[in-house]
Amino acid sequence: MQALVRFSDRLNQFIIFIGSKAAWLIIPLVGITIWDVITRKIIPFQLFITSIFGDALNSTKLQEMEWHLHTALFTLCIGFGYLRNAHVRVDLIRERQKPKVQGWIEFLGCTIFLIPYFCVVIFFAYDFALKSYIQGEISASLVGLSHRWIIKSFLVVGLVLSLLAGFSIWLRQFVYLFGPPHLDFDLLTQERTRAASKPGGTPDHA
Amino acid sequence: MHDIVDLLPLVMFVVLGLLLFTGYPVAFVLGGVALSFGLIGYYFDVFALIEFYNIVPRVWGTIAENLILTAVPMFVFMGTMLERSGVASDLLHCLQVLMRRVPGGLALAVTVMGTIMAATTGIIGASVVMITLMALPVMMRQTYNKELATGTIAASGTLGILIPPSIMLVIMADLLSISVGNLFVAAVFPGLVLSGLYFFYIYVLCHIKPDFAPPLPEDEGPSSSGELTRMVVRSFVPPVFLIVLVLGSIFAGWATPTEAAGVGAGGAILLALFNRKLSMDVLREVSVRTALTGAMIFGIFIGATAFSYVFRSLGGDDIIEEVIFGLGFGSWGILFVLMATVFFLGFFFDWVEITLIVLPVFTPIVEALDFGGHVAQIDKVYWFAILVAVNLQTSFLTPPFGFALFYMKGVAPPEVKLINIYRGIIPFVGLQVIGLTVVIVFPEVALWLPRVLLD
Repeated sequence: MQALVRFSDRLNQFIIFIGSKAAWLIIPLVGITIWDVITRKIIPFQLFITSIFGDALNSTKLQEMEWHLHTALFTLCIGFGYLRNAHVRVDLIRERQKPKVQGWIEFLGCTIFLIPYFCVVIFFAYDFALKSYIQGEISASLVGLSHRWIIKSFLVVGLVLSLLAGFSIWLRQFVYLFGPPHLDFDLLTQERTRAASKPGGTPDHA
Repeated sequence: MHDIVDLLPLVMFVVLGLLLFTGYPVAFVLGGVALSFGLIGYYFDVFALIEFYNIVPRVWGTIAENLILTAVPMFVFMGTMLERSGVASDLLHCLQVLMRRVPGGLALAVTVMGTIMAATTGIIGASVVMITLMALPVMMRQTYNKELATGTIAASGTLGILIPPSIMLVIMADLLSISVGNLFVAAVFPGLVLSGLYFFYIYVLCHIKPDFAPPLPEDEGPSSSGELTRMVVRSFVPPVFLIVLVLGSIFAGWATPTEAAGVGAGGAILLALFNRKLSMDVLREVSVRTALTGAMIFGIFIGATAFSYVFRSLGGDDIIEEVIFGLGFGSWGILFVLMATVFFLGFFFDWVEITLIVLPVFTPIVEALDFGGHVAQIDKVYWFAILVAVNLQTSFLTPPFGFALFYMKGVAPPEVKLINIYRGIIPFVGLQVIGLTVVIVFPEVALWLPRVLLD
């Protein structure tokens, strides 16, 4: 059981590492948007840029880059958000339940909703990205970005990370519900309660 | 008579509603329900498994490959940065000092602050919590009447969803396939009507009952007029300039909302730099909070896309239209039913769930409504969107559920009881109803400005 918790810890570290790094993508997103505004709205500046870079940094490319970055940002952070309990819950009833009941809700939620849902979507998203790769899909616009499969793969990667986050939470609930009561670890989905009290203490199931 | 298969979409909606109350994250319940009902539909031979594939390109086309939605994280970043860098609380302090001689100055400052900083954090819970933490302790220190203090804060904190640049309006416009810029412009006067009503109410009340709102002591804040000017230049002008720049460039047609959001986010970083609050830690914290908010919104967006795909595929649109039009009400009656539904849902859900799940279902119904000469057909959807926005804001404030109130209670000092908050908000709910009525009876409040500004 302890090993399962350790495995879940590892998974979490990995997902949080990627998510917290991906969060930085907002900075280039803002930067590129401002750059695009300046180079497009201020004509002398635009001429200057075109004379240096030619067509390599045209506005279509920049704007496609903007939604590429945005897509990468939110897909890579959905699982991270689950581990930080950032997803909206309708907490009128759950909050008042005992930790064990909350554990069961989370356990069943992951089993019935999250894990099957992401498995199905990942299966088709993988197909979606693969098709794009095989066809060598490029932007619908003549001057847009090529290699559309790259950003489509981010969708797959993000969904896999979300699935892993769900699996990790599932493992923790499993150990909490069925494992020995002396283990001490954060459940991540209950803000104030821990799975059990400090090692050696009596379990806190109240 | 319908057989069970025809009723499947209605069952799907009810099951979703019930399962959301388990408290499991909305984003994943949506996806799970979509999957289960796809499978049930498959069992009854009305859904093909390959249809699940369509969810992916749908998600791709509406969420990923969509430049408009890129504005959402940048607006969130802007608001979070203004808050985290102390710009927001400096602004509130400055407004307090400026209005210290006016009766109820502190409450009025909160209203003005809510109007200026509206919507920048985007999520109701977050903006109410932010403004409560900033303003309530100060008001309690000044021995403000608890009801007045909490009512003002809750009402001003929720103005955010209506007054641009509201990310709710960005998402609504996207779902209703209307222009974000136009919707922003349409929301300006309704927003100002509401904040004007609050302002007027507080001003009059504090005139009649001065002990409700004791003024700030004279020695608080700068003593000389030179210092006062410096304070205004430092704390008031920069954020107001930034907001005016962002909105002005959209309204002038000079920038798209996405471009304005980028400039606003960049401007917020600059303001933090001038405030000497910009550090790697601040930048990291703001980025992570923005990313988590974005993950939350777009997680639900993906789930809702899957849900509405399966819902439609099972014939949900038809059956909802059949039910609504089967009521035999005219256009006004149906509008009332839709508004009542939104109001009721607002007791339990944030705007993210309501707009993403319910709006797509309502859209075809709204398109079929006809208000004759009251609202022109081309303006109808804008008007409807504004009504939903004002309605939702009212719903968030209405006891006993109004969940802006719960968020407030969560961070309020212990001497503020829930009953104080309930009692305090009631006059403001009354003002909301007046505001909503004004927009219903006089659609021009919303529609006049876009017409003169954008044509």
